Amino acid sequence: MPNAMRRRLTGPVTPAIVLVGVAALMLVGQISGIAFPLVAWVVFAISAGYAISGSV
Amino acid sequence: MLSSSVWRGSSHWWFSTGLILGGVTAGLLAATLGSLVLRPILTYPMEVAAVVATLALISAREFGLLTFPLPQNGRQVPESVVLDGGAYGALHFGYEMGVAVRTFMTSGLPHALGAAVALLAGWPAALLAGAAFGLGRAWMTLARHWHDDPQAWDASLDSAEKRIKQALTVAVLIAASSVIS
Repeated sequence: MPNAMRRRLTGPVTPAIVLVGVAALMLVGQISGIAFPLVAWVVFAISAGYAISGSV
Repeated sequence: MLSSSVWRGSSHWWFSTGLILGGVTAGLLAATLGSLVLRPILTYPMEVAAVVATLALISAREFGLLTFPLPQNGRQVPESVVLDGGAYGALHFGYEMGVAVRTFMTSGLPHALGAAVALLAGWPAALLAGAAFGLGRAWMTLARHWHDDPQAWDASLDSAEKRIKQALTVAVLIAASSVIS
């Protein structure tokens, strides 16, 4: 994998972008009447964990 | 923690496993507390209102609109636990951090998650949320481990940390709206 792509994928901002992206897709689904409650819990929880993962 | 000795050899996998197991434990504890103490005395609208209020307060704090201290047991897991060996020590260290009983809360989002799990989650969702919480904690540390320039990674985190947490707050609010509805 090219270094630049690897750096981007493993950068500290990427997870936040991914989680916001998945949440946005869920929102579109919700508006369309399709719910993904377990996915919502996963997004909620991963976001909460990532938010404090720099602390000890 | 990011430069901890748990990153020697394959210890990071044991550490990450510990984080996930700790998160599952925390999820089960929150669901148990909710089932035994809170839900018998609260109606569903009251539970939803409590979660919404918690999310509103935490979100306001994350965006700098409010300032208040977060409940926390502000003690570090002693790194001496990793002296128990590369595998068990890292697993133990990760488990303690995954349970988040001894940690510094640099964001209120885990508190919002705890409230939501205690008040709204069924057992499958509580287990899944707990594991996902641990995975979230592991994601940052694994990403830094795999990045080929940790110093640049640290600098990037320092400059973007506030925006990262605000973006995560947006993701949480959207996810919570799906959980609640």
